[in-house]
Order: sequence, then structure tokens, then C-alpha cells
Amino acid sequence: MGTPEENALTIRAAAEVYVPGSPHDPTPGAADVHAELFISHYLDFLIPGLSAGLPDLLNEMSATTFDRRAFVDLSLEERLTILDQLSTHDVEQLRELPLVLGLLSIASVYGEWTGQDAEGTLARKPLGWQLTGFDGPSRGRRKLLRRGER
Amino acid sequence: MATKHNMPDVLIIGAGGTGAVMAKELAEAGLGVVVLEAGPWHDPQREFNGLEWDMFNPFDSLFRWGPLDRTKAPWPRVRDGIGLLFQTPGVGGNTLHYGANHPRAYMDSIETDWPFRYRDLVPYYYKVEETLPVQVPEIVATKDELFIKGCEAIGIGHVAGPDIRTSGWRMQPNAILPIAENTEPLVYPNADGCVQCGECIVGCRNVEGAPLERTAKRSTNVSYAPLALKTKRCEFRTGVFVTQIVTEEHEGSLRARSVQYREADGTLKEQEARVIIMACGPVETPRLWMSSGLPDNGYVGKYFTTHWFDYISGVFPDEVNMFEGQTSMVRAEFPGYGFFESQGAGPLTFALATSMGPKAVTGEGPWALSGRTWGTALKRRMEAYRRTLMVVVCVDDDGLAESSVSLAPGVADENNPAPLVRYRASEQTVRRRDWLSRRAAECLIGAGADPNSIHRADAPASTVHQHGTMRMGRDPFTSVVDPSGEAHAVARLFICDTSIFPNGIGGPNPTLTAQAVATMISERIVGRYFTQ
Repeated sequence: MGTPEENALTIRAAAEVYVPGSPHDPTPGAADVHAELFISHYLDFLIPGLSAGLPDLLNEMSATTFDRRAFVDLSLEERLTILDQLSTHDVEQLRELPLVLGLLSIASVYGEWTGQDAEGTLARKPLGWQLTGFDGPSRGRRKLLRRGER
Repeated sequence: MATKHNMPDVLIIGAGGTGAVMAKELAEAGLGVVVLEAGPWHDPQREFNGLEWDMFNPFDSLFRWGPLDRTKAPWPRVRDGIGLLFQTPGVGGNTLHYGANHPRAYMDSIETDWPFRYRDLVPYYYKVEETLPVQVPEIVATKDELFIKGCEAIGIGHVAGPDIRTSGWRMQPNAILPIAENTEPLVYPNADGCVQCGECIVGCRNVEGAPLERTAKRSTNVSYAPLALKTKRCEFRTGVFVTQIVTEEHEGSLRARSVQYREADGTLKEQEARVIIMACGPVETPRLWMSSGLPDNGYVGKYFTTHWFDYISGVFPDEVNMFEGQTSMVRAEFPGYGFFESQGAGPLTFALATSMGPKAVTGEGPWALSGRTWGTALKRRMEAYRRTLMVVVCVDDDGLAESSVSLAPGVADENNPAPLVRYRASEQTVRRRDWLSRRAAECLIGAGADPNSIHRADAPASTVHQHGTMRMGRDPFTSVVDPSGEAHAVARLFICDTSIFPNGIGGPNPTLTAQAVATMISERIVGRYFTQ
């Protein structure tokens, strides 16, 4: 069993596979926004305790495949190998976890979460909008409206 | 509500794309109607915010399928061969976050498998198109201009008119109010209509300040349901979940008597009605049927179809801004195969649509990239988001008996056993999907996208479009309901949602056809049970 801090680092290491940031990529990614907070919240929302159980599983698979190394110590390619193994795991219920992790990792960066304050109010431009140039929800795109007749 | 014998004439389960239509039609015909709906009746002005995750993530969003209390986990669903299940509680149902594309069915698809002729549907198509209303947009966005350019470049010609029998690109018939005038301020009543915000699939809330009935996208919560209420003969009970259809023996056969339902606080209630209509969709309708122990002739829950979407995208030299304008304003039809259309999306929706495919893509085509894009590939893709056009492919998929909805052993929510949704594609479906994906990729290249940027997602099947599982037909041994929507095995029990479709109508978006059929069935219910 890992400590809460170790579990968080393991989930962060998994999120980097989907949306890498520093030092793996020149622009910020999942680790830079502490995606593990977002991901762990939803893992436990779905199945209480999953944010602790999943890191254990990833570390166990990592140790078996890569000579007792912890998941966080693997390269991104090696972590992907473990996640691909998980997608064909003998236990059917575990096979979807890489997709769930992917969905949450991508959402943590490209959704609105990084722009929200503690109450969930959009307080700043989310990272994903900065990375993509998206200008956010709109109350009207004037250049696509009919010309005024008044 | 005025009803005889202290019970409604008609009870409708589900206030989504078809339930609300039937409520309006039957109440206008003079019947007393009660509608039971699992979700709330949202106030778009107050509750919709245009934020992708908050509005429709599968876990705790406003549109997720689960208890009213969003701090509780969603209702479990067991999936086999299928990705995300799209089910939306609330008045409006899945029309709350659809793109509002309202094409008619491919004519030949009705002629081959349905128990009536295409021409029989036409008057009902017109009625729905006028009521919502449905129209083609008069101003298109860059993404749609490029789509047209791409079609023309590869020899796909323009076709017009509402009936579809030939291939070609056409303007998108959308259930969206006419485009608003560019006024200052852009607020109701100074402005009225669609403001091209690009948020159709996130839930329409514009024009700012508009009353519910003038919300631009014509989800049934802003169109049909208010019209039903206006009759003063219709009551919507929201936040209640129907758990059982109760039947009784009558002259040697079964007939529907009442439903049992659970209120949000857990209280169980029962409601009788002269006629009961299931309008819960191709997953929940068979689930409720089976949970109620109703007769199964071997066809209940079978022949589920989804149009198995795919997403093809390409990067252009200049800005496309796929987030601007109605989600889709042009489409290309290919009877016998399906269709593809321009597809707007926010960054999160695009990232997920383009990245969640398999490790290795199937099918050869003019794409430089395919399958899942994770890691640096996704980062680079998203950096080009503003210069990217996405095309969504919808396939005329075959209904297979093994594609089905059944009850999942050992999994349940507080209402009933959970559904197990299984999807399998026929070889022909795969071939059609590959063909459409190739044409969509060619269209993007023809429009000027960098050939080295073309990406095919090869997305897993989802239930954005869903049909079948309770097929309509004349033969009680090979279908579940008759051509009027009444169950062969249970009198006074009707089904009216896309579950009764005998096929996937050739590929087009199903909502208009479902609403036309609902209008037709409403008329038949009145004729069969309420005419002196």
C-alpha cells in the first residue's frame, strides 16, 4: 500500500502518458496542473478507494514487467506498456481503467477545471483554452449573425 | 387536469425527444396526460453555462445519467463492445445536448424494413418540421464553407429538398430558430433566434434573456413540452423513475393497468392510466420491459443499432474555428452507406473524439494518422485546434440479433437491474464505415487540409444515435410492437421512441423521424382508444 502522496504521484505519472508536460514536452501538461487531484476525485467518486487501489495495481504490474521498478520511475513509453497491459487484464472490470484514466487526464487539461476556483466558478482562462486558443463559451458570434435592418 | 375516473387517459414514461411530442399531440387532442420523467426540467438561462465538462461529463455533469443529486455516483451501465452511453435525464432527454440536425430518413430504408410506406410518414414530417421549426441556416461558418468546398472538389454535387434518395451534399436541416440579427445589445427581446454560439451539444441557453419557448435550439423542453402544458390537460412529474409496468388479465390476454414509480426521496407510488406509453429510449425501454417481467417473444432487446460514428479531422493553413456557428450546417448523404457532416466542437469534445480510438486502426485510407492520439501527438493536435476541421461519419449499420440490451447479472441501481448493452458490427457495416471515412478524408483534402494532417479516430461505438431493441412490425412473432406502436403482447401498452425503429433509417440523425412517428402514433392512439 502506498502513502497518499505516493499514490498521487503514481496517478500523476499515469496522466503524463496521455497529456505530457515538462520535462517531456515543451508546453504544460497534466503533471503541471496536478491532474492527480482531479483524477483521484473522480476515481473515488466512481468506486470509493480506487485512487489508492489503482496505484497499487500499476506498481505491481510495473515491478513484474520492469524488474521491480515503481511506475513513477518508468519512462513514458514504459508506462504506456503497463497501461496497455491493463487494457487486456485477466480481470474484465479492470480493462476499462486505461480509458477512464485517459478521459480524466485529457479532461483535466482541456476541460475547464484549471480555470475554476474552489467553488467551481470560472475565475481564469483554463490551461486547455490557452493551449488551443479557444475563447470560451459565447453569448453570440456577431460576424455570423444577420446584418441589422434597423 | 380534467380526467374521468380520477386517472389520466394517457401516461407517458419519459419526456425526451418523443415523450414530449406525444404529450403535446395527445393533450391537444383533448386527452388528459401525465408524463413521468426521471430528470428535472432545466432552466437553460440559469443552469446551462457552456462549459463542456460541467454540462456533459459522464460522471457528475448536469446531463449525466444518474440521480438528481449530482454528488451521488451515476447509475451503473454494463457495456460490451461499446464506448460511452449517452442517456440524458430531464425534460428534453437527449435533445438537450443533440446537435439539432433534423434530416428525414433515407426513403429506401423505410420502404424496405418498415411496416408502412415512406409516403405515410411525410405528413407527419411536415407537421414536426413546422412545429419545431426545422430550417436550413442562411449564414454558415468557416467550417461549413470548407466542407462544401471539399465536397465540390471531389465531385459530390449539391442536392436540395427534404426527401433523400440520392447522394450529394445539402444544407443541414436544423431544429434551430432563424439566425438572429446583429443587434446591440445582443439580448432578448432586442435579439431573437440563434446567435451561432457553437454550443448546441453543450446545451443551448441563447439568446441571453430569452423566455424558455424562444430558446434557439428546439430541444423538446423548450418546444413540445411547453406546448403540452399550454393545453392545461398535461402534467409533468419530474424527478421520478418508473420501475414497473403493472398488467392485468383481460378477456384471456394481458393489458397494461398502471406503473409503479419511485420519487426522488425513495417513496414508491403507483399511477393508473387507460393507456401507457413507454418513451424511454432503446436502453431504458427494454430494461423496464424486462424488469417488469413482460412477455418476451425472443425479439425484446434485440437488433440494437448505433450508426457507429467515426471522426475524421484535418488541419488547414488558416483558422477554421470549429467552435463557431451551429454545430453542423452542412452534410453529405450517401444512401446505402450513411452520411458525414461538418462537426463543431469545443476543445475537450474534440480532444476526446479524436483521441480515444484503438491502438491500431482498421481499414486503409488517405489518412496520415489513425487511432488513438495520446501523449505528444495529442498535444500537437490540440495546438492546431483553431485550424482544424472535424467531420463526423454516421454509418447505415445493420441490426444484428447479438447487438442487444439485456439485464446485467448482479448489477443494479436503486431502481432496477442495470442494463447490459452489447454492440457488434456486421462486416458490411465495417465496410460502409471505411468507405465513408475515406470519402470524408478526401473531402478534407479537397477543401485544402494538409494531407499529412488527416486523422481517422476509428472511434469505439457509442450511443449518440440509438435505435432498435423493440422493433415495430406486423408479425407478432418477429417484432415487439405493431405498426401503431402498441405491444403485440400487452394491450394498451405502447412504445414510442427510437427503440421501435426496424432499422437505423439508413444512417441519418433519428430525431425527426422519431418525432414524426410519435405524431403518427398519437393519432392512432386517439383513433383506437378514445374515439366514441
